[in-house]
Amino acid sequence: MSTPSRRRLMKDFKRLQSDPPGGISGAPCSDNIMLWNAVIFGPADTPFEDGTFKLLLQFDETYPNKPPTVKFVSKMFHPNVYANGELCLDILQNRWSPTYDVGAILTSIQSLLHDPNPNSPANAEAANLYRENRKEYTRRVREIVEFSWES
Amino acid sequence: MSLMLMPVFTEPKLCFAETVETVSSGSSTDAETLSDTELSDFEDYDSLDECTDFDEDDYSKEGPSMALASEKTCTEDYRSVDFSVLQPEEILEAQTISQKHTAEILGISSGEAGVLLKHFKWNVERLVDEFMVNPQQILCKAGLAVDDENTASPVASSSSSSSSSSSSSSIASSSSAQSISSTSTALREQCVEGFVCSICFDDEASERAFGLSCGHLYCKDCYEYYLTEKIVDSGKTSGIRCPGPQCPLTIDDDSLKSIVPRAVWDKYQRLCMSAFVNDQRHLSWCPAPNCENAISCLQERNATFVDPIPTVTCQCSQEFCFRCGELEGHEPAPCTLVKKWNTKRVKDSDTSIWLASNTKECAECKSTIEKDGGCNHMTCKQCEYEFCWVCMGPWDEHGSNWYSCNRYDEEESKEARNEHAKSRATLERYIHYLNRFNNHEQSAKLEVGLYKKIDKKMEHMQLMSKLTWIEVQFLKDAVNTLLEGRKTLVWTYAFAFYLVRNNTSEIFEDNQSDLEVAVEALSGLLEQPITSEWSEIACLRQSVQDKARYVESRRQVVLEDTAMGLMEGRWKFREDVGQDPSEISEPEAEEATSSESSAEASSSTEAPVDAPADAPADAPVDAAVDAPADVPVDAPVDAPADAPVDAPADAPAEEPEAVVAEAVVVETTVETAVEVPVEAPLETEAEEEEQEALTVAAMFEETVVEPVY
Repeated sequence: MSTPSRRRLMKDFKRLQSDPPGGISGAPCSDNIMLWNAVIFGPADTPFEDGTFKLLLQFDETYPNKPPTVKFVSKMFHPNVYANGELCLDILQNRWSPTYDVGAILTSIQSLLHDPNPNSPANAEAANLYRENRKEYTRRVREIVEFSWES
Repeated sequence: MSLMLMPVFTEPKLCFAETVETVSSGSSTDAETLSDTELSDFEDYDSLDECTDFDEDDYSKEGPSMALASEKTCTEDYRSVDFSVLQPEEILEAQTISQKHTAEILGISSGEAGVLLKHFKWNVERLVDEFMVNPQQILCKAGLAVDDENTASPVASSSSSSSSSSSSSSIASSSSAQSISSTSTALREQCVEGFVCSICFDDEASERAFGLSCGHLYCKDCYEYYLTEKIVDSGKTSGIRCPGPQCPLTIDDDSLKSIVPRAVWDKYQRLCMSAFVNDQRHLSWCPAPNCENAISCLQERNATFVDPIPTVTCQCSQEFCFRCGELEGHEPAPCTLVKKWNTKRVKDSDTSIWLASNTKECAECKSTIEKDGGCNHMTCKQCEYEFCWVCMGPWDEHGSNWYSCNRYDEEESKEARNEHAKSRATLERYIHYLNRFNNHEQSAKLEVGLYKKIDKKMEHMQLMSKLTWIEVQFLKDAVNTLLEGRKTLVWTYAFAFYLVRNNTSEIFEDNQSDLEVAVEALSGLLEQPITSEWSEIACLRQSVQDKARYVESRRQVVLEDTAMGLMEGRWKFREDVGQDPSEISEPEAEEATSSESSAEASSSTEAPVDAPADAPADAPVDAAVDAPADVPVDAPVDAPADAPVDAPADAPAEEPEAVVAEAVVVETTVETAVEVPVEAPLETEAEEEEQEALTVAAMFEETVVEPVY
């Protein structure tokens, strides 16, 4: 069945394949176009460098008028990511625009890894370490980077 | 009768005032004026002759003119409240007029005015003020113009897909350089070579591009889906913005209308209307189910005690308090008091009655105790205090021969019983008022059934006598009056519950009882079976009409006197019911000199009058010594005169309360000698009530004490 949201997701997929942004990849599940698996590579020159973080994107028929639900499947240690993997990102909530596509979402998340916002922490421990003990923060992030290779 | 012009009808609110005026004058061809005309008739009640006023005014509420009646004005200053009923079309009209006016004042288009007004929650005054200071900033805030700061948003720049958005932001920033633009909110169809909608990514040749002045272009379908989602799912009425990433521009109503389907537009209009009414303090929806009217009433919602109680009636005949929304109105009790009373009633109606009849309180910790065994040797589970259930005295004094409870006169036992009696008295006092309140409410409910019976009686009467249909309507009118009387009675009891007992409250009670007697008499009369004798019918008609008029006049007396008292700050309340201390009338010092009526003077000196009467023998001496020099001279003079009247009249229940109050009074006077003497007892009252509240709260933590065998 073709609906506006499904058509749009197909287009998203085509765009992602023809013009893939660096450091991200994503594809719908073979049997369900509304569910996407994605991988973000940790940006260079950050503690996340070399990490491969898996994500799950769940869309519904309101897309692209409403944002999808995005969560990390891989273990994450980041000031704006909750323990269950859900993220606190403005463009996935109130600042969503229907012009964003999957590529835009994933690149935004990638830049979030680069620039955490410790002022609206989803993980208080990560936020505190980021502010006060950058060394320990880096150590903890490295831990989950290594963990991301195993799983 | 004078139609009061509210002070708000002046410069700054000009646009609103006119809106309301226009609307009301359009619809109110026939002002409902029953209360006034009737009132003036009742005033010469004694000289009434039986066949008076079967005039149209009395029957206007039955006839079709009722539908047009949308204004009601009382002549009396204390209770006058102006209001008008707005039907859905009128609300829409008011909205448009307000929009047009604002547009004229600010020199902008009507569509833009609409966006600004919604952004400012229809607060024209604030909008105009702020707009005059910095129009550009206001336009930016509401999304009618682009601010330089907004165009460069970090997310948009970080997103890689923004090949279109980066170009559009340059367009947007160029548009912000324009002066106050007039077309920025209008959605325009644009022809762009090789257009690709950046929402659906379709690039079919047939796509028509739409966009605001920001240059973000989308196809019609995407715009439609986007707007429909905003309206239907999110219920948004203001701040529907361009779908572009972080684009601040708002879409105005006309553009919206041109894009969305009819059903969505209708929904949007309903939502806007709802916001229009909810955002404005002088508008309120009629609470009746399925009624779509709104009431416009220039009454402060958070008004103080001195403001009249705004009881309004919708065209659907639903009556309610404009300020607090209480159905059927609640005159003469003010809103704050009603709220307090309702909470109290819901919280502890049945419970407290049961508690009063089945439990006692531990003399030590005041826990509520139910006896569940035969033995009278009780041990409180809460505080382990051992006592005798019979005399409530401590158990250890009972020794071996406790059966006789011969410790009756022992000090502790007496105190324990006093304490007990005191808390019971508070409860009994509450139940006294609650019962009467409920009783009248119940009666009113039952009397609604009278309408049916009356209809039959009226038919019967027309058959039996030569009376015409219009001539037997007096019965229906009498039922109306009766129900109104009941309703007022109901709330007088809530009001009386919070009143401090003094001379003014006695006047209130006298008025109340007059009304009560009249209402009961009328009720009895209406329930009487009618005979077929012509002479008796004539007689009945006269007495029903006389009674009904009397009830109405007594009702007006109660309502006006109470409202007047509230305005003057004459009433003293037992606890904080939201009365502004500054509204309480000044102590007797001035009044005694200025007013001729001694009753009035002594009424406000409640505390000094009562105190010596109930206080222990040494108290008055102390009080006199400690009291500041300016204590009114007439207080002790009045006291003995009032004392014998007050003391026996008050149930013994009142006594212990007063004793405690007195003790604290003396203390407070010592501590703060500057304090006005009248205020001190007020405080102690408040303390009393606090304690009462605590005890009631404690009752709910039910403590069952097992007797010790």
